[in-house]
Amino acid sequence: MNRLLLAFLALAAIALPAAAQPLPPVPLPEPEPETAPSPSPSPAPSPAPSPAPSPAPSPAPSPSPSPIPSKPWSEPPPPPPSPEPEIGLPTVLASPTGRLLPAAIIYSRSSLDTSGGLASDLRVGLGDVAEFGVELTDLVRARESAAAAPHRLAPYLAATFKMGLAEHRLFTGQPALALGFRKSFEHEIDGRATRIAELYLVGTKRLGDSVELHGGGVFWDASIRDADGAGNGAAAEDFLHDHGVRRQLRGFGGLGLRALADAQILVDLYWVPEFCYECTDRQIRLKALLSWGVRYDITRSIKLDSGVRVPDITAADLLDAQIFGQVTFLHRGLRRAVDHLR
Amino acid sequence: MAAARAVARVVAVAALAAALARTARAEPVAPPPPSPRVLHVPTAWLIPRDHVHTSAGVTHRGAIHASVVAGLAGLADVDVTLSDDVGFCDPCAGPRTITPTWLGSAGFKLAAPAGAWFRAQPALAVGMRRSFAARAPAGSTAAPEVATLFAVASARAHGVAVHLGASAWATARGARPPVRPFAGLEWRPPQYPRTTLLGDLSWLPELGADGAALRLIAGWGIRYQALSWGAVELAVRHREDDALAGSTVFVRVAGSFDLRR
Repeated sequence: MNRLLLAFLALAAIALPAAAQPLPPVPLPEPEPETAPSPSPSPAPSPAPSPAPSPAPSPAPSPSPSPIPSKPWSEPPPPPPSPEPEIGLPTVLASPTGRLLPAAIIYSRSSLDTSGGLASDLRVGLGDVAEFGVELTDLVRARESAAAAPHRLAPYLAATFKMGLAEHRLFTGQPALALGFRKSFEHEIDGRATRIAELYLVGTKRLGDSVELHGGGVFWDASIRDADGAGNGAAAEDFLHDHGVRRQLRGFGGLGLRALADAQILVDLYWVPEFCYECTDRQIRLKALLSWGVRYDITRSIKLDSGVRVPDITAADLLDAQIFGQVTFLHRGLRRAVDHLR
Repeated sequence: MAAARAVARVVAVAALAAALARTARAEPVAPPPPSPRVLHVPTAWLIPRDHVHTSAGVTHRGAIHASVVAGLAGLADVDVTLSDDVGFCDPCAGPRTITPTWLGSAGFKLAAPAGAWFRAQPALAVGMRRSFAARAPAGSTAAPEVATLFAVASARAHGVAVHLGASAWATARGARPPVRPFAGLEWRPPQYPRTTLLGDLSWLPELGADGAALRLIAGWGIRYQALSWGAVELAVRHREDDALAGSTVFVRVAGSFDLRR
């Protein structure tokens, strides 16, 4: 049943962007020059502009004559540069948004926090309908036992693919929609090998000029196994999907409030798996991650975020909170190169 | 020897303060830049956008203080602070001995300026501070951890600024953090436009081998705005249950810099 649901979601996500894509211009063959007069009466041709400049010098309209000679009429004008796209960032603070990176825009984000976490995220926009990236996340944690304090599993390497629709693409008022998948490589430490994977569907809706709402659902899976076969009383391998869909499916959301023209207040809630090595009932649990902070658009391409992150809000432990800072760079060089090639 | 080093540090900072004071005579009096804290308690004022506020100082016990606060778009402040506000006691009972040490922490403060929502609204801020580095006290192998969540309101009228707030302190995992009020007062007499009298009252954790306890701490002193961008603070800190000889005298030099220049 789950597989059918996933397959249906994936098909719908593929079909929606395709249906919403404007048809590309079909390359038509160049019209052959007419060698014989058409048998049907054709309308009188409109007078074409003379390709040769007038021999008489025209008076200069400007009081200061330009020293640059005008280009000959025969040279085609250069193609206009592609309009600068508005770049919606793919994440609020921790949770994904329904925004996609425009085509050939490279996004990189690096962050650190007071608990010593370092994270990095690198993505590229694919054709305005998808993005691909790799990331090192520091949000996945583990604990020895249920009573022990959690510690970070880092660096945790994962790959991300996300596809979706821009806002108002299908109909007026349609929120930006994105279906994303993130899959980690196997992470082995302390004799345990862990993996995580998530599939999420998220929508982003702008309300007026200053408010942006994000909401969606995430379907998590994860596994933990004893890499050295020690066991320690726990099952040899535990999967999150063995404990039912209710343990895997969670809702998440975020809010962006543009308090200033170049700054936003951001709040979001997301879910991240936490492993427990010695727990005998369930070794994987989803923990609610709350983040709040400010994003400052220093320039068009550099953004600075800072705020507070609480990795497990149900624990209500202030010592668990982290102050984080992260800087985001948006690189347009690849997009300019692609435009140049066109 | 240690006492001589501490005295030398205080003398050096005092000499710097005197040099700043001499320079100040030629400077026109300008309103001082907002300070992110009174002495120990935070204010609800933010650093102006694209500014950085720095301060450095030393106590007569040899503990150092350093802080860098950056304004984030005029909406929030982010800071990294090295401080000796949180004390370590050994022994903690009876005639206590506070060991000078340092605690590195980072803070984030989100604020609404005065009058942002209605006319008489004071400046309001909510913030979080979390330690990220500390020296383990004698007899302990684990470095202490401290976190606080606070809310504060600040208002200014006729040269007097009042700061009122509350903070929840966490020093042990799993324990419910106690909430305590704090208050701060700044007064700039019109006759001395460069001078601000400072006072604050708050509860701060005192860490020991057997755990931590919140203790009342009071601070009072002056801030002399020597330059339009720089000030010198000279103040005294009293801890609860300490005799007068247990007070700590400290001096700090603070500056505010515009990064756009």
